[in-house]
Parts: sequence; C-alpha cells; structure tokens
Amino acid sequence: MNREITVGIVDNDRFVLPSLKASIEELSDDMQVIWTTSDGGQAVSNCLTAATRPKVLLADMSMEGVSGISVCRRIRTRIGKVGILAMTAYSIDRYAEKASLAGAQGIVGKSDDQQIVTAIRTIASGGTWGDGFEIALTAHVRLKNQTSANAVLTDREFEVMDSFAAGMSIQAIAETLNITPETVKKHGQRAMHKLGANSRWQAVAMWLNSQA
Amino acid sequence: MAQLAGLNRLAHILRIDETPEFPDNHHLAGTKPIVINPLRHPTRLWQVGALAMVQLIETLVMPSGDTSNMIVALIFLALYLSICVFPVPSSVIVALYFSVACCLTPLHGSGELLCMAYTLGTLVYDTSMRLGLVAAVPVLVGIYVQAWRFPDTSWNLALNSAPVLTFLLLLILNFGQVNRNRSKLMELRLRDERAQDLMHRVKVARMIHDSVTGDLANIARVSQRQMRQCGDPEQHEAWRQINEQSVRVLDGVHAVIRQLSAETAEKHPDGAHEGPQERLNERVRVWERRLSESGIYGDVRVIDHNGAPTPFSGKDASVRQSCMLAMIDETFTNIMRHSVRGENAYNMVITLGERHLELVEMNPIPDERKTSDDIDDILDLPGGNGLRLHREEIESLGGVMSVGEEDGTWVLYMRMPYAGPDNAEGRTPFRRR
Repeated sequence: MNREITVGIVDNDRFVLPSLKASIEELSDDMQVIWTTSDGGQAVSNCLTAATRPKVLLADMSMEGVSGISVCRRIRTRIGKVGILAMTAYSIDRYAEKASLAGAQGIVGKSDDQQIVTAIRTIASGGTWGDGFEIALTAHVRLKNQTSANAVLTDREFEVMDSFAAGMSIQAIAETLNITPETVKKHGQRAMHKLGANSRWQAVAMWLNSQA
Repeated sequence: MAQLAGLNRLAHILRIDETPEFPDNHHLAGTKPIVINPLRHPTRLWQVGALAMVQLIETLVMPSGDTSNMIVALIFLALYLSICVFPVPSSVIVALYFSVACCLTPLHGSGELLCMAYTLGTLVYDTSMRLGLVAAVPVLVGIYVQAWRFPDTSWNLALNSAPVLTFLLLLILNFGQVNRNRSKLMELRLRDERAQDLMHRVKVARMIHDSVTGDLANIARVSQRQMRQCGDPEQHEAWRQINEQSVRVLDGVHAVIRQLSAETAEKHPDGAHEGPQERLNERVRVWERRLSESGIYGDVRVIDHNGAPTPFSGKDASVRQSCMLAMIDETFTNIMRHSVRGENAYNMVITLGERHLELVEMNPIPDERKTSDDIDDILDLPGGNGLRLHREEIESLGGVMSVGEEDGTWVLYMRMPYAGPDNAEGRTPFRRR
C-alpha cells in the first residue's frame, strides 16, 4: 500500500526517534517517516523546503535550545501546509494552550503509540486532535498577521531571542548553538535593532509579548 | 529567615502572629488601613486589649475623681478599642478626643496616656511619620494645657513635666517608624523567600521531568511494541503489566510535577458562570444553523485561551464588545450572501487570547468574483454594513483588520484588543506560563 502520509519527527531524546519511527510504521500501512531530527532548526528548515516537507510534523514540546513551541510558531508563521502534532512526556495540559497558540493542530502524550498514530492520521486529513486547536490554514493566517517581528528576524536571531527569553547566558547560548559568544551578541544586537528595543531586557520583553 | 522586630518578635515566640490561619498579620505596615478584620490580626488585638485592660482597671478600681472623669475615661476606652477595626480613622479621632479631654478635664490616671502613646506609635506604623507628627501635635497641646490647668494630676506629677512626656511621645513615634520599616523589610524578604522557594520547586519539577517522564514514556511505548510482537501469552501479559505500571507511574509523576510547579487546577472550573466562550458559541451556533438552512456548511470554532468572564475592560469595554459582535455578524452575513453552497463552504476561528480577540475567516472565492484584486471592491461588497465601516471602527479602537486572497481562498483577519492603551493591563515581561 502506498504510504501517502509522510511524517517528520523532531525530538532531542535519542531513544525516542528510532522507536517512534518503528512504531508509527508498524502500526500503520499508510504512513512513512521521511526524516527524524533532534535539531529544532533543522526541523523548521525541512518543513519549509518543499522537497523535504512532510504532511505532518511530530514535535516534542520540551526540547532545549530551539523549543518545540518555537518550532511550531516559526513553521506556522510562514506556511499553512504542514500539520503539526505536538507531543510531550509532561501532562498534556501543560503544553496544550501554548501549542495551540503557536499554531499546532493537536497534542498527544508520548506514552501511547496507538494514540499518536490516530492523531497523525486525523491531522493529515485536515482535522485537529483535542479541544482548543484550529486547522493549519487559519492558524497560519492568525500568526502571520499577529506581529511583524516573526517575519523580520532570521532563524538565528529567532533562536538567540528564544534562548535569552529562557534565561540562558550568552556563554550557554553559544555552547548550545555552537557559535562564539561574540556571534551571539551580534545576533542579539541585530534582533534588538529590528525589534526597536533600547536594551536586551526590553528586547526580551517585546519578544515575549510578541510570542504571547 | 527574616528577623522579626519588637513586639512582633514576642508575638512570634508566643505563636500568636503569622500562622496559616492569619498569614497577613504583618502586612499593615505602611498600608494605611481604614478597616480591618481584627480576627486576622491577633497581635494587634492582643496589644490593644492589654492596654485597654490597664485603663479599664485604673478607671474602675482606682479613685480618679468625679463621675464626669469616669465617663470621659470610658468614652476614651471605647474609642481606643475601635482601633482594632478602624486603625487609622480611630487613631486620629482618639488623638483629637484626648486633646480636647485634656484641655477640659483633669485626667488622673496614666492609662489614657499609655493608650495614647500606643495609638500614636501604631499610627506611624500604619501610615507614616508625617501623619503621626500631625496627630501628635493636638496630643502635645492637650498635655501642655493639662499641665497648666490641672497641675495636680497624678501622671503629670509623677513624670515631673510636660517636656518629659513630649520626649517620651516622640520616642514612641520613632519606635513606630522603626517598626514599620523593619516590618516592610521583613515582608519583602518573606516574599523573596517565597519566590525563591517556588523557583526551587519549579527547578525540581523540571529535573524530575527531564530525568523521569521521558524515559517512562519510552518504557511504555517499548512495552506496547513488545506486546504487539510477542506471541507467547505469558510474555504478553508481562509486557502488559510493564506498560500499565509505567503509565501509572507516569501519571503519578505528572501529579507531583504539577504540585511542585504550583500549577493551578482547571482554568474553567465545573459550574463556572457563563464566560465569553459560551456566549460566543451560542451566537455562532445560531448563525451556523441559519447557514445550514441555506445549504451552506462549514466549520466554526471558538477557542478561549483567556478564561476571564469578561475579557474586555476599560471605559470603552462595551463599545469594543459591540464592535466585535457586529464584526462577527458582518462576517456571517457576507458568508450567507457570497459563499458557494455545499460542504466546506467556510472556515472560521475566533480566538480569545490573553490581550486580544482574533477572528480568522476563510472561504473559497466563487468564480465570478475572482476577477477582482482591488481591495476597495472587497471592502465594499454589498450586504451587511460593509467591511470598510467595520475596519474603520476596529482601527479606531486600536485593532487591525485585513482582507485578501490566498491560494484562491478569501481570507479575513481581525484583531481587537480587550482594552485601549491607557487601560491595558501591564504584563510582567518575564512571566512564563
């Protein structure tokens, strides 16, 4: 049978990726995991590129560095074509609202394979999974119109602002993103300038407000 | 642990100060309380009661002059006791009463003087040194008049002179201010400690999550996979138990994490009064029915991320709400007039966010309309009151409205803030949900 539902998975837990891929392909005849990655930035890039774009992205919400919420938001701001299913090992309530605001179409717990597969299928057919979610296209319109900041900052500037907002130091950001502290500062300054902030703290406050 | 000052330390030792039943016992410092519940401030009740008892015994037991003196003293006692309920107003009234009483009649006991000193000190503690000094002026005037008119009064003789009393009262005022400053400092330290405690708990919650929940979820999934692949009934049962127990433990860990993170329970408790989501749902259901009767079927959702019963605030709250409802009606009216009949004719989402309401509506553009790219034509579509008028009103309220086309689909977006910029609630920049 043609596996027409293509799935991408992003999770920074090294045990999850291969086991989830195997479970999804075992439990369904119509799904194929076309790529997996532990890098949120890579997942965003894959989703925005037509050649690697899956029908549904399965995104872990509690990743370090580029968070799952940020991945959702970045993809959804730019396109309304990929369905996004958030997943978490926390209780679902913790991330449901944030995932919905960031443009996801549903959220599942990581402990139930069958539920994950059913949710993927629902979202691939244009639906949503769980209360309080909207379809990809309307979420895309909403996020696109919300703030100009999302369209202005580069991916790297996004990552740096997310990391500042999470309370990370310049050194920690540099180590996480594998760049020098000077480069982190430069990205931060450019983001500050684009956001029209006078200081890093003001930029973070504006950034947090824009992500609300 | 923050240090307690003065009588608060004694109250703490005697365990009649801050307890789970009376968590706010310290917080009157500098708060200018007009009315308080005396049962929530047992320390003050104890202090006032003790001095009132002294004055009452003195009035009733010790000979202090004629009946008028007793009446004056009892009225003073009643006013003094009212400090427990009306701290600031009663303190001011007591000061004035004391001053007038001193000018008109001899006060033979020291009870009133002790109560007055306590009142002034507490007034400084509750408000400021400035108000304390202002209240002290009539009291001192009264003392000096008393010393001049009735030099034989016992407390006047015992304390030798009015200047000594003046010094003592000023000392009491200073004591009140020092106590107030220390209490405020202690409150700040307590808040800081509570915040640090919460941060520590959140950190522990995060550590538990990072180290436990992910692995438990993996164990559950692996055991589910083994159950599917396993042919042996005994092994299947073993894997089933592993799955069941790991899921149970995971639920338990979630509960612990919730407790540590001090997450609130449901945002929308059962039986809560009707909120904006319910009201909007009602409105859109009516429109949905009307559209379906016309053969137009689609999807409408109201998503509430706000949870407040009345999200719109400020002086123009009703105007904003009316504008929002009118815009929703206008959107449905346009769907009714211009959409193609059949399934998936429209898609609408109304999102109640933290600071604004958003509406997104999409529907396929009928072929006969696809020739127009002019935004003015779209805004002036016949039917309803015209999107142009609505856009003007929305923009005047600080909102945004845009219309356009995307991949052959008509798209409308509207955002309405709940309050104007002057009334908008501030949002703590680093608050994380």
